[in-house]
Amino acid sequence: MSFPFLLRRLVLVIPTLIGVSIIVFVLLRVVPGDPIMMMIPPGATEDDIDHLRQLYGLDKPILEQYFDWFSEVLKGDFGTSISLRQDVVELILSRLPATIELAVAAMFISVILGTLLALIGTFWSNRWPEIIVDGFTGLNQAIPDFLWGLIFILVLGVLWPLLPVSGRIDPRISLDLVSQFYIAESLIRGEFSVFLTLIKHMIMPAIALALPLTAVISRSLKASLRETMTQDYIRMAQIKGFGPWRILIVEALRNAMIPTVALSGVQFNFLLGGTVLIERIFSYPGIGNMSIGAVIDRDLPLIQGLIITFAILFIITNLVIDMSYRTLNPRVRNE
Amino acid sequence: MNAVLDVQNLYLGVSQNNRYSPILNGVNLEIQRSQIHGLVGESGAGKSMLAKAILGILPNSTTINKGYIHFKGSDLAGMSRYERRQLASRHIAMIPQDPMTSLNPVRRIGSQLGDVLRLHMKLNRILAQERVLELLNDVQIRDPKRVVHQYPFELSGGMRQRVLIAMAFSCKPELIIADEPTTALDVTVQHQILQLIKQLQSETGTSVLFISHDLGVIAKICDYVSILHSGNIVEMQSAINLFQNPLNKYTKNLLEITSHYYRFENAD
Ligand SMILES: Nc1ncnc2c1ncn2[C@@H]1O[C@H](COP(=O)(O)OP(=O)(O)OP(=O)(O)O)[C@@H](O)[C@H]1O
Ligand SMILES: [Mg+2]
Repeated sequence: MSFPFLLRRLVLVIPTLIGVSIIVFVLLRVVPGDPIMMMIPPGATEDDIDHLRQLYGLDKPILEQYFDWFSEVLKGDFGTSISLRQDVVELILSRLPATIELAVAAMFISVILGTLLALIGTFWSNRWPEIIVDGFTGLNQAIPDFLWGLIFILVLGVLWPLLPVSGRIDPRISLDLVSQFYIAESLIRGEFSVFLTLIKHMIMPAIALALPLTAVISRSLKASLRETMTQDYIRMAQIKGFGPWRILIVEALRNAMIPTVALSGVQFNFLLGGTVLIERIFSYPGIGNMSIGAVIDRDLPLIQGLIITFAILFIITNLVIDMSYRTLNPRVRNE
Repeated sequence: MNAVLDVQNLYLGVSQNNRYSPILNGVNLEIQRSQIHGLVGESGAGKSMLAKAILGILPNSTTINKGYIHFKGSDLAGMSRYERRQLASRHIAMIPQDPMTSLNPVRRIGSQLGDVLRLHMKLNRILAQERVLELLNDVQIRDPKRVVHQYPFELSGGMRQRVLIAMAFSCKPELIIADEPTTALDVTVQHQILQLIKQLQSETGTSVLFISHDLGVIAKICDYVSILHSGNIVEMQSAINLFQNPLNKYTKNLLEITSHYYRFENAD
């Protein structure tokens, strides 16, 4: 990995974030819906409303509001949530780890499962395993993540109540974890019973999020594996006497992964966006769930903070994707 | 006779869109030990198909209908892929036509060569890497220590073909099939590559089946020549005899048409 590449990418992050913040800030103030109207108690006077408006700075012109907000942001202060009356940064940081753990779990599942399916479908191409893989892929391209979420709750939560349908952890368990990264921390500390309940809570939302992405990965990877398997260097490996699984995994997979990795950046971003609905459906305490609450309450500072957070997550995912693309492809590695 | 490989009465054809078209119609080809055996024929004659049949990499649309490919007392034509791999993959190697596409683009030269040695010569990683350096040195690659860490795209076509030649000779095979190994290279490199194949062949005593439609090239390095025409070997002769005294009418024509391309160099 070359240093100038990373540096160039990091420099680009700043204008991106500023652009996102301007668009969000303006949009939130021109779309209908007034945060003050959401928070006033019944019977408030015109004076009370004006007073509140002044308190939150919403009476000033948009440009001035933006600069006020931006200068605070530069100091690391995203303001106070209107509906929850807490510091936005603290609120987000307390919920962010839950979302990161969920999204990483879902990405992990989709990469492993998608790759396995593609390998199976290629190894037994034109035979029944490929037909099953194609059927499974087609089904998952048609069914969106939130629908899977509802199906899982109905089947595994209601009809056969095997798994918990809401939250991140059983509330009866007393937690003495110091970070919000429950899964990572319980694993590191070796608290396996806690780890197990965490996994039980996460497995349904994670799989629901992962399935559409699994389909995209397996479909794209299988197509490029099929193409790769016709290459001369694969034929050379066959002549040399390497076994078929070794040829598929060592010689073909890495070449075939290059286009799939390039495409998965966008797909991972879809997955991050998917957390919003999935967390809501499973009452999972992450920033996705918090976003819906913030939008319902027209909580402008919180919405702004959340969107910047999502933007940073998108940027990080894309950076990681780009770096793995470069690691896989020696041709672009040193550019 | 001391034949390494003996192809007998081989019939092979391809089925496409429910139509069957024959490609080889009873080919007989015997390759002797320590010989460079040329296989000549016009484009589309089925030279590569014959090579693929020997190497066990025929496309799915192609079937062997009759005949034998005798190697080490067994018949390669009637074997499963698995059996063939066990019996022959170490002993029959290949120098491909296109060195640009025949190396894995995302793997380093050193590990691609090393893997073959570890598979067949049962060397461990360290010994394999040492042997790789020797092999690269044998094919006259300068600075092998640097090349083992490089990727194929960092090497020229001639360098890559040298790597593939090193790979072909690496496990001391009994037979190497070289299917037009110089056609993808530019003329100055062609000559060096031919010299290299000939030199390594005479040092190791490996047999080579050298496929070409270029009689000039064949004249330069082959001991024996077979002419493939309309699915049959129409002539099989020592190179000296063939060029001086062709028996078959087709061969005579071929020599006449192309005589201005080659100069007979084996005579001296
Ligand atoms: N994959 C394939 N499927 C169907 N037919 C094929 C296939 N490959 C080759 N053929 C046909 O088989 C015949 C023999 O082809 P082959 O490649 O062996 O010729 P060749 O003698 O090697 O010619 P060249 O000198 O051009 O390499 C040709 O008529 C060709 O059209
Ligand atoms: Mg050919």
